[in-house]
Order: sequence, then structure tokens, then C-alpha cells
Amino acid sequence: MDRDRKGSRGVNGLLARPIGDRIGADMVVMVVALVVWGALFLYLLRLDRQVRELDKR
Amino acid sequence: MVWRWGLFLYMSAVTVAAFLYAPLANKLFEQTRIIYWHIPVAWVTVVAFVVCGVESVRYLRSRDLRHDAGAASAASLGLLFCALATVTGAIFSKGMWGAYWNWDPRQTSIFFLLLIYAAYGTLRAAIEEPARRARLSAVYGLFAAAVTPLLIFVVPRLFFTLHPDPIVNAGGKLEMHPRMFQVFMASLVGFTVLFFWVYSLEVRIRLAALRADGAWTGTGKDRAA
Repeated sequence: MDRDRKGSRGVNGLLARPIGDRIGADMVVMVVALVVWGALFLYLLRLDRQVRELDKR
Repeated sequence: MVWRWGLFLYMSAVTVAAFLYAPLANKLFEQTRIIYWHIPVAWVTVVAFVVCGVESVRYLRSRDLRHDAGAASAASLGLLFCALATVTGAIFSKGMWGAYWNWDPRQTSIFFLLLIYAAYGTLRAAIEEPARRARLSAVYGLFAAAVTPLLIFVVPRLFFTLHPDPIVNAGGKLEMHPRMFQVFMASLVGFTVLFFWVYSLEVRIRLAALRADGAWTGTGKDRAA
């Protein structure tokens, strides 16, 4: 049964892991989401500045 | 500039709250969190397509290319958000039902929406003359906007679906933990503001391109025939 639990994937696999691992995995996903959002925001900010310069011309 | 940084902090806080503040829903486990992105992105898709329809009507009434730029921007952003809703929905589907795609009524209707607005983009790309392009795409955009509510709100309710109930179910009851609801609504507001920011950027870029081509001066005297 242990082997089945270790071998299972997806949500069941995730739930079979200790709570500490699950929280650690959550943190990784959260940090990745924040980094992606930060990068997107900086890109939009740069685009906004360029468009304003274009409007002035 | 200040409100943009405010949006950055706000959306960052929503992301953190989705992980640390909102509890997990029964049976959804870790996949609960996808609702804080998937539903707002789908909502923004509807907003974008409605804006496209409204701007199409405004163009047909005024023949001002500014409204055509508004409609085109809304349609292209709507298509982008529709694709994001499809991808996030497919990830949710894989976790819950074991397959990325199973032709669920909602998946089918979003697939048709993707086709409809991809065709809108193709139509625009096929016509070079700005006034003609604007007129034809406005008529198409109007019909597409009329079909959108049917595909999103009506068709999925006519057939059996694996998709979870809407946030407010058929009985008019809200079946969501209050903390989840707070984060969900905050995300909905954040994505809507983000959409209108990106929308305004795209409209200004399209108008600058029209100005550079000499097709639009912004004086109101260059109404398309």
C-alpha cells in the first residue's frame, strides 16, 4: 500500500505526502506566481512609459 | 503612476492571500486555488467581449476609428484571456476529472468563443483599408458579442456538466467559505482593473499606428466613409 501511495500521482500523490512537503510545495508555487506577476507588471510599466512618450510626439 | 504600483501591491496581496489566508475547499484540495485565477480570467473574457460589442456599435454610429481601435483591442485581449481561461480550466480538469479536455459543455462553449474571436482577428488581418476593415469587423463584432452571453451563461446550463456549480448556485445560495469569497472577489476586482489598464495601452498603441499611417488625426474630422 505504501508503494501504491508513493507511486500515485496528481492530487492523490500530493495528499499522500507529509504536510510539511505540501506546505513547501505551496510556497514554491506562490513564489513562482509572484515572480511571474512581478515580471509582467514591470513589462507593462515599461510599455506604459513608452506609450506615453509616443503620445507626446 | 501611483495607482499602478497600488495594483501591483494589491494583486501581490491577493496571490499571498490565496495561499495563506483562504482555506481549501472540500474535495478540491490544493486545486481550490485555481478558482482565484481561472474564474476572474473567464470573467474578464466576458467583459472584453462586451466592450468589443459596445465599441462596435459606437463605431457604426459615429464612424470614428477611435471606437474601431477600442473594439479591436477588446477582442484581441478577450481572446488572450479566453485562452488563459481555457488553459487554467484544462489544468483544473486534469486534476479533478483525469483529462485535460473532455468536451464538457463549458469547455465546448469556450472553444467556440475562441474560434469566433480568432475569426474576428483573421477578418481584420485580411482587410487593409482601415475604414472598410472597421465597418466589416464592427458588424461581425456586434454579432459575436450577441452570441457570447448565450455561450457562457445559457448553453452550459442546458446540458449535464461536470463543471462545479456557479459561485451563486441555482438556489441563489452562496456556497463558499467567507474567506475564499473575499479572496475571490478581490481577485475579480484586480483582474478587471488589470484588464482596463492593458486595454487602454493597446488602444493607444493602435491609435498611434493609425496616426502614423495618416488614417486618424484625432480631430474628429477624419470620419471613415
